[in-house]
Amino acid sequence: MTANPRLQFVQNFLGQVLGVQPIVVNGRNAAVFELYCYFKKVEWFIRRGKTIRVNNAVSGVFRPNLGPSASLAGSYISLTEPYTATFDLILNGQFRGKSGADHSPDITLIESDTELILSIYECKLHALYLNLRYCREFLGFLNELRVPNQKYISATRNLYPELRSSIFTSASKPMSALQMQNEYDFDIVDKL
Amino acid sequence: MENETDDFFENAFSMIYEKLTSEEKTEFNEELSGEGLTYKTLTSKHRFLSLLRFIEVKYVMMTKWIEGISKSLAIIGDSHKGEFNLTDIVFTDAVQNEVSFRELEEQRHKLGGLASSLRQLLEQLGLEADYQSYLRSLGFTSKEEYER
Repeated sequence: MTANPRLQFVQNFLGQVLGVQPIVVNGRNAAVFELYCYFKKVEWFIRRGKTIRVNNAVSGVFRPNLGPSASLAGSYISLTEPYTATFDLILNGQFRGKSGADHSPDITLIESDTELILSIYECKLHALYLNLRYCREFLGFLNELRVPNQKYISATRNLYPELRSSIFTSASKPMSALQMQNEYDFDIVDKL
Repeated sequence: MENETDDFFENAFSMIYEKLTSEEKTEFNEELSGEGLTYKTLTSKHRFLSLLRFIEVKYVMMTKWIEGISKSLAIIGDSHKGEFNLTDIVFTDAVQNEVSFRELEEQRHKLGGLASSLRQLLEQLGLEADYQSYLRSLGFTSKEEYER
């Protein structure tokens, strides 16, 4: 109990924070944010007429990779449509880069037959501004994983031109991040 | 009076900050450094508001994402007429504990309660306008962003 009544208000709030801390710690909030971005992307495909198939779910339980793992090791969703290629949307799959190093984007869209990477998505759970270093890291991913130009993909794979590789973030994007996304053809979906 | 106010914000900040996990403290300081700031260079009031924002995003907003996942699953299920039937999503956290999404759904009202507590705290401290102004400075322009 504190003598200052204003500090007592803070103390009461802190009690609430500590009460829910076990729900969010150990990266659980980041995992939930990643799943939120993943299923929003699946929903995005559903709204555009894709049919989905759930892979590697046992007894109806979806067990995604939430750490780097072989690309198709955990549960993932395939997106199909008559007369077009099937795509897989994978959480934390591991893919070999140009340099020979392995990388695990948070979410990767690949063509099922060829495993060609079409788009990647990174989920950044931050509170204030999106740090530019995450944009630089993202550009490294795009280059290392040979993510093709989106105009090429939309022309050759019947995908939607707006389906760009993206950073999803709960933070706000600063103006300099906006300049980078325009220059390098990726999206930053912020304030999620 | 000015010093009293500064003391209040410093004490209030320390009270909450000291209870964050070491990982959260690191994340918070990294976020500030992304703004070219450190918590030592901010005014005590700005630092306190930054910490409240950090708590809001890292704790309270999980409610929105849990509900968003539930809605997405319902939309996917509706579009597949019973062929899509996920009973749960299970993942392992950073210390290898298994976490059930269905259990998180049941606990989300506690996080929602924290949202009310945050609003109440801002009212009690007379900081609602300052917090709104702080959010606007971060680029959150609408009232809805704060009230989500």
